[in-house]
Amino acid sequence: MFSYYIQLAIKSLKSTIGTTLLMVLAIACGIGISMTALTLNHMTGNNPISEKSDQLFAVQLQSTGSSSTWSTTDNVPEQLTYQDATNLMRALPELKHTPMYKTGFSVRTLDPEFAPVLRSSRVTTRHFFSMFDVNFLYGGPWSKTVDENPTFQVVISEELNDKLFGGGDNTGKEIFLNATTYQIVGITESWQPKPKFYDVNNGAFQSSEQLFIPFVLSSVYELQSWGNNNGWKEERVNNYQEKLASEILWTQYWAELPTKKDQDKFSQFLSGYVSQQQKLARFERDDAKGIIRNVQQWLDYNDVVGDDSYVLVAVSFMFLVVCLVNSIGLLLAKFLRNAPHVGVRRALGASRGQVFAQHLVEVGMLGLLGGLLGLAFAYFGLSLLKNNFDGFDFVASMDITMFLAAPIIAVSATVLAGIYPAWRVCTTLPSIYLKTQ
Amino acid sequence: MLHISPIFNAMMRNKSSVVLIIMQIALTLAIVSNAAFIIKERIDDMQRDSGIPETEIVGFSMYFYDEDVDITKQLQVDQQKIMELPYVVEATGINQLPLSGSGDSWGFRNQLEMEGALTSGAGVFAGNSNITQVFDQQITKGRSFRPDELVLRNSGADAPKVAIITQALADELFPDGDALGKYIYSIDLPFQVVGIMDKMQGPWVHSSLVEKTVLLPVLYNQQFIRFAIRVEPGEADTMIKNVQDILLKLENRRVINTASTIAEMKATSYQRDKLMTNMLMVIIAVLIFITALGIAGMTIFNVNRRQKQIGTRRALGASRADIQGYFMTESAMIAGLGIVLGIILALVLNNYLMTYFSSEALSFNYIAATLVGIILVIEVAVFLPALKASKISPAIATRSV
Repeated sequence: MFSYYIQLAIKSLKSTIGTTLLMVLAIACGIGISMTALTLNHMTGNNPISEKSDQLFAVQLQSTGSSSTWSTTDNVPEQLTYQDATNLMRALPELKHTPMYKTGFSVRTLDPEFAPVLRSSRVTTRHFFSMFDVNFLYGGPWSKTVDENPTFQVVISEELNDKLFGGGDNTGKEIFLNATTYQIVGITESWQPKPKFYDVNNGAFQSSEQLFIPFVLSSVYELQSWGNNNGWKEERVNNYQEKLASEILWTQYWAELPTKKDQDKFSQFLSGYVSQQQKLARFERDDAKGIIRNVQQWLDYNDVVGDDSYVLVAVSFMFLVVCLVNSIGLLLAKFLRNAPHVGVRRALGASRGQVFAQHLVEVGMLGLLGGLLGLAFAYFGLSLLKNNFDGFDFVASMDITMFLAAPIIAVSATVLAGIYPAWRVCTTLPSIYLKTQ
Repeated sequence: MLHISPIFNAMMRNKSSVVLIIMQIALTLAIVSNAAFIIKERIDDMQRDSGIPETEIVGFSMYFYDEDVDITKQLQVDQQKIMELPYVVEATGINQLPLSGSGDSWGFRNQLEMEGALTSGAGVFAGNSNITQVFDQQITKGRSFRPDELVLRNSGADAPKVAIITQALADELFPDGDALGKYIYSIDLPFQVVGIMDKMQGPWVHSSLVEKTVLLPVLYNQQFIRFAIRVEPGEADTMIKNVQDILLKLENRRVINTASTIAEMKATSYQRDKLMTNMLMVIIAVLIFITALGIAGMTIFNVNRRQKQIGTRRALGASRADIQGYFMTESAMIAGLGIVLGIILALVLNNYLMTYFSSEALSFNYIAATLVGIILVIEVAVFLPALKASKISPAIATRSV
């Protein structure tokens, strides 16, 4: 029966080829545009570490002045001061938590002929790698001792290893970061979380750093932050040591808290730390507090997706609705014009249900054709975006969810839209049309 | 004349398709007017005058990795060498580049005491004393920097004494219009305002601080530093191609990043707005096209379905113009209903955008313009099918079936 309906549908679609093309084109445009917008939204809203999203927490402290205002929704700064970061780092050794910030170096091998390359670098502790699931090709993170005693050791990425040495196990070798030699202890697999959730300061879709050095080096070696440095206090900062002791906010802080118990423990510790700092009169505000947010909450809090993306999705789906309304109108006209044939079929014994099903099959085919063409349109739209806008390589590519979503949305939307015309035509009385024939 | 009542009666016999067209027109009006409004807002932003000759200024960043390099001295050597080139107008080492999206902002007050002070943030450009010439700034009040005012900032204690600010910042800190000669303060550092320039945008194009700019005559001793060069018109590409070689010959203990014009940096800074406007323009264009085709398609169906009736009317004395007028009037009536609903929908949608996405209130001009556009498109779409209807021969009425 189904294949017979399909035959009928093909015949019917062919008989009014102009209308069919118009409807398919309308659905395809609607699907193409809404899928493009939805893909951008879906990919920017990606949670890059979903399996640990509930266990990793960004740590914030309300450490600003009593009258300071901040651009975040809850008026709490996104980053910590260096002194708070080091204070937190020393506590609760049984849990993994780490401060971090971005700096950068000119990097070269010991070969004097090697032209130096500029690379950003993450300054952090050994916990970073296991917390964020960064895998090693060779070697591993530096040791606990290195986190406590300034040592010139470095972990580099696969990309940088290729650039410097053309690949291979180069752990144990030395490289120059600026004018200082560092020993390579580990080489990570290529690691590019998108969005770059652990530091969204200078754009959430920036590349990850290709160098990692111990945080403790900051205390002995002047490492300039390449990220945001925000101050609220009227204080003169004349040199690096004064910056470390200042209220300038420039470090990020993350904690891995796998269980509810760990989370409570860490939160309790934070509120203890806050009241201690209040007693010392460093934290001025009455509402001073510590906050932890898991990865998903952190991405939402920082509005990584952006308003534009939601507006585009909303507008493009309204557009899809117009395309569907357009198709319903045409379908209705077409089906009703064909009502005399239906009258004959009904008179010859076809049930209402059968007429209804037959028309829905036709609508479903329209939807499928429109959806597939729409998928091609969306693919075309996304490649246009990729070619014309820098940095859209990642967000403008469809994943499997999007590939499947396009035809499914198209077919279900058109079938939904086709219910009314199909119902109208199956409820017509056969007698009326038989009379006029 | 227009026979509104019979047209209305005929419409009522076919309610569902009329309702569908009305919905389509209403949604189209709501989407197009709001999208056009968003596009206009973004284009206005992108076309704002930045106050600088964007295509004639080449900028780049560089990083001195050897601590033995005397950076402030090297910046001056670089400047001298670059300015010897025949196609270069002015050049300076600088801390940040306009419209680039990255740089420094400081807080400023109009008095030393914090109590009762007027305050404002501002983008701070620190370069050589020729910085106003590099950015081709006309000083509307006061003067440019003098060469002896340049400070080489090797420690935090070395600070310039003078500043040139934009009119926008002057208005904010000195509403009485007497900024020239006054002091502005950042933390406890005083700077005398020696000049006021009309307009110069800072690094962040989406920030409220974009028009609030301060120029200081100071070269920073910073490993990561930038450079700005104004070239003769049309020479930017030559400069971009040559600059790395020229500077590395002078001092190779540095990494020099690829240079680009301010115009290119601007394009990157406005990339998301460009994306938004492009997407919305495509949506508007396709939407109008689809709506027009849909309405034309519906009219063709109606004409075909009513062939007999049309023939009868023609046989009873209706002229061709009457028939064409009938369909044009019918579509105008449907459009009118759609438009009323569309205006309401447009305002609802705008209200939603304002509530959730800090959009501006939709100006009625956009609705009016869209409305006129939609009526035109509909009438054009209906014209041909209606013309076809008018050519139906009266003889058709005499045939059975």
